[in-house]
Amino acid sequence: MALEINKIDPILEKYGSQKSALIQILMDIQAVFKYLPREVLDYVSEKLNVPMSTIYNVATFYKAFSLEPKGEHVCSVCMGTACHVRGAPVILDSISRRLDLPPDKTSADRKWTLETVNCLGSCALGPLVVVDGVYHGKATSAKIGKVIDKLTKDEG
Amino acid sequence: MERLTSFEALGRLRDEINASRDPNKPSITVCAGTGCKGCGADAVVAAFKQELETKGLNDKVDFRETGCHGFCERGTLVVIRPKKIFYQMVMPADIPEIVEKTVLGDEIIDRLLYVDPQTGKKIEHEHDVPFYKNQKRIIFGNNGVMDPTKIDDYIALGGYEGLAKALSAMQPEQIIDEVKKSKLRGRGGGGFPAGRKWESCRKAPGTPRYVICNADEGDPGAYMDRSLLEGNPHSVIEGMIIGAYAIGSSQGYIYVRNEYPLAVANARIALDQARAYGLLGDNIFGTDFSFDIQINRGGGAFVCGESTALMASLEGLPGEPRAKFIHTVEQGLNNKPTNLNNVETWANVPLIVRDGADEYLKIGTEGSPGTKIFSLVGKIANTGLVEVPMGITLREIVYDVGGGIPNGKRFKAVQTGGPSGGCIPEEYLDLPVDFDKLSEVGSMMGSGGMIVMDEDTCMVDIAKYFTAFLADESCGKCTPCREGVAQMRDVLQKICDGQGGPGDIEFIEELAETISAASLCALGQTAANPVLTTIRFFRDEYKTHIEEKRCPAGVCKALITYRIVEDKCTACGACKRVCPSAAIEGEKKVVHKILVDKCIKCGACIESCKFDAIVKE
Amino acid sequence: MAEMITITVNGKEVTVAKDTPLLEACRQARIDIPTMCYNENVKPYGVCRLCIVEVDDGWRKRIVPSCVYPVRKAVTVQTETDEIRKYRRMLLNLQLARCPEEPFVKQLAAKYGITEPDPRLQRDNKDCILCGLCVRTCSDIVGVSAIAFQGRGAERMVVTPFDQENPVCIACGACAFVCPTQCIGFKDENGERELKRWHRKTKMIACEKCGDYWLPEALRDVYAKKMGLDPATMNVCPNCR
Repeated sequence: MALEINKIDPILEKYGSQKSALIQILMDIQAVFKYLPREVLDYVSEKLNVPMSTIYNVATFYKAFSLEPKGEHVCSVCMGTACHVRGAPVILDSISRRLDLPPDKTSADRKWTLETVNCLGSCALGPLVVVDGVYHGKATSAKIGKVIDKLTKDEG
Repeated sequence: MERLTSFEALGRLRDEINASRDPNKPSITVCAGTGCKGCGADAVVAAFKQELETKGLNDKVDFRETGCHGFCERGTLVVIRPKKIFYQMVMPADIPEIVEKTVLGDEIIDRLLYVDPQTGKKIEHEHDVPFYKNQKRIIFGNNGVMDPTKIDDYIALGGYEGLAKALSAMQPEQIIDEVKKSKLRGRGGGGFPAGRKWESCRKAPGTPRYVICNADEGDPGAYMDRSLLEGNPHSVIEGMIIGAYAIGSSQGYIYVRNEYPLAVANARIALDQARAYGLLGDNIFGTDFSFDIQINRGGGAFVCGESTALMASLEGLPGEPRAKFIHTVEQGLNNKPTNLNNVETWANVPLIVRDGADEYLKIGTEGSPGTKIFSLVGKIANTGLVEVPMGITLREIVYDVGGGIPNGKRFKAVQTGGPSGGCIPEEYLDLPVDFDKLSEVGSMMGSGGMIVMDEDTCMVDIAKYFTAFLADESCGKCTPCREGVAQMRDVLQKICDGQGGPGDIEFIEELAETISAASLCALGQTAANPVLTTIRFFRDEYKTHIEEKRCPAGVCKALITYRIVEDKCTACGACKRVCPSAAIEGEKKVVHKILVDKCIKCGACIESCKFDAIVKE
Repeated sequence: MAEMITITVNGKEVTVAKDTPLLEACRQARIDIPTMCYNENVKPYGVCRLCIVEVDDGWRKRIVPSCVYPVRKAVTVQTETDEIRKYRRMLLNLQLARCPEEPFVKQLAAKYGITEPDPRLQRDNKDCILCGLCVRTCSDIVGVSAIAFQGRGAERMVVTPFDQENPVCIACGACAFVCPTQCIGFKDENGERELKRWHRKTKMIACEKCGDYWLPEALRDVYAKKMGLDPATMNVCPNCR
């Protein structure tokens, strides 16, 4: 934990430890740890003098935050309107079956997180699936299946 | 970079930049907006850079990565100057040939040109492509010619001249009068007159005053604000500085979705560069006016597009709206007078100030002057961002600009206004598009999402989609929105599942009435629009779901079955291999068959069939 | 002296200071308006929407929640039109479908002729109406913020952080006191106070004179510190002082 705190102080300093920067601070923390570890939130609460209940409220309100560690691989399926009319629900279903994982959940072995996102603004590419940060436009169940299988296989 | 301490210095800088640039020097521009990046623009850029490097052409050829050109369907887009040759769907493998033939030589590569599907003719120049020809790109046009990370590119095109004029020759009240005269209306959705908002904010007691740029573009299917902020951030910033001067503000915020990393990055760079030139910060242009802008990333909540929720979020709180009986122009951020406009609205301001309201009024309709950028997406041939004058008809947008419906399908509806808007059917295709006309048919302008739907789109499913979206995005603060929208979603789900009964439509209408009348904020007040408009225009489709348990568009899973058409099936086995539930039987050379009780209706077979032999009924 | 404004409510004139919440003005005129999330001791929140009324400001008529609508003009108000009653009935139906067993909700619904939630609504079985009075009292009045909302939309609920015991809770019980459905509650037993919903248990202090357990320890310590008192001065209950 001592080491983790080292990463927090520069983030707090960057925003002058301002209470109003809470969301910005939590985002930077989320970027470092891929989730919001509880001990870190305790530390932020103390340093910013913001009640833990407020931090918890913010952390559970915004979709950007996760209180659980995410999987090693993250698969995000865009559920924007353009992607929806071009068949995103069918693709989500098939990925969910392939990973044996309901949407917006992380697998027990923390290998995969399957999440839905409300429009990434790349509507011309719909349906759009992002796997580990790589955009796969005009996605089909088969195409994404291959991407997922490859990542799973590479790890043996 | 040296600070510009006088208005003349800006003119001198612009002249210097332009003098140093040879208009006849070959240049390559690659669209590197998020859309083209999704098509592999980064690889194209890298290939160009390497090719120029190996051939030792770095000094002889200008290379520029620009923001979004709008024609996302055809990415990656490349324009070669001075002849402005327009190549589309460019891949890294094409690069050596482009450099050799078109940049160094005088040859045009036919296969990379756009072919007009109407005439079959190949088109050499961007402005001759029907998609562009029918637009009026006063706000969005510069995206294609400038590198958004270089302020000099913006200044070379006359950027910050509006600001210089405002600060040197106009009183704040004069600016407000000019904006009022231009009848500029908020592009974020409501269409409230911007000038009146500015005036109320200026007159409101209390300091400091704030100006905010709302870039929390949460409408699924809309991405014009992202592309503006990515591709031409200075136009937004210039608008904000002018607004701040008119209103009397010294602090501004850009609240941008975190899902838009490139927009965040480019806006940051732009702010730094504007600061370095003294266009932001203390004593702008050497005057006693000081103003700066801070970027805040949104946490991923659609409701934060609502002004009071956005302000709560800026204060570090959950994005819960509050009652607006005391307006935000009086008590907004930190309870101080606050003026909020959206990205596109701000980007209109420099034009109005620089060229005057009279010039601006020449475009658009009487009640809604200017242009509007739409994201034309869904079942449309030319997907992308289009900027058109207000008053253009839906038909012109869908067919002339958008190129109509692909794959020979029939147009069914166009959805405007995102989750707060509605679906407009074929009979209103000749409706002129402006704020008031869209409201008249039960939809709204919204931020400019325009999702085209064809005969394969189920309108009950679309209503369910939007309602589920809103139930998910409701902040949960007030009862009608939290409980009512979720209940409405459940009824729609029931109908899509084949469990609908008589009276369901009427019950939705009853629920909708209370949700609209009693909800706290605009999210709830407009939440019923997608359902109400689909009921209004497609009532029969609802009835078919409820009474006949049938989904005519073949979308609602519970109401369809998959079948193999015998005389089309070649017994190739492709579908059998991909079926995850072993629901397809058939041998080599024996026509395949789908076992209905095993089929999970995932659609994998249809995707795999090359002979269109599988149908949904 | 505050500016006074005279408004007309259901034909009755009433004069109030500018910026008085319309709901208060109506109550001054002895007109009953149903509420679920309103408590005059806490800043109005405007979420149950039951207090909606029709306001005519001479320019347009509109429906507003009276608890957060400040009186700023000589408006004309109607509190029981058919339209408003219809909306209130739907709102009560929605709350009753959420909390079908809560006497507080049932009683209010009964006033509008509703005994059972509309059968077309999905029934849940919650005890909390999300009025937020507990959260607001804890933060605005007690100044502790031990509890907060979690999540959003239909998933929203009131919890302590991570739904675990929160050491900052002073077990004062104010949340339980303001809760309209009495779904919070607390129990004083064997020298301990327990707020089950918040997983909070704390020792009580016995009065040095009468021996009655009268004050949670955590409350004493926090308040003594806040007011700069020796905690020992709070060891005697008010009855024995």
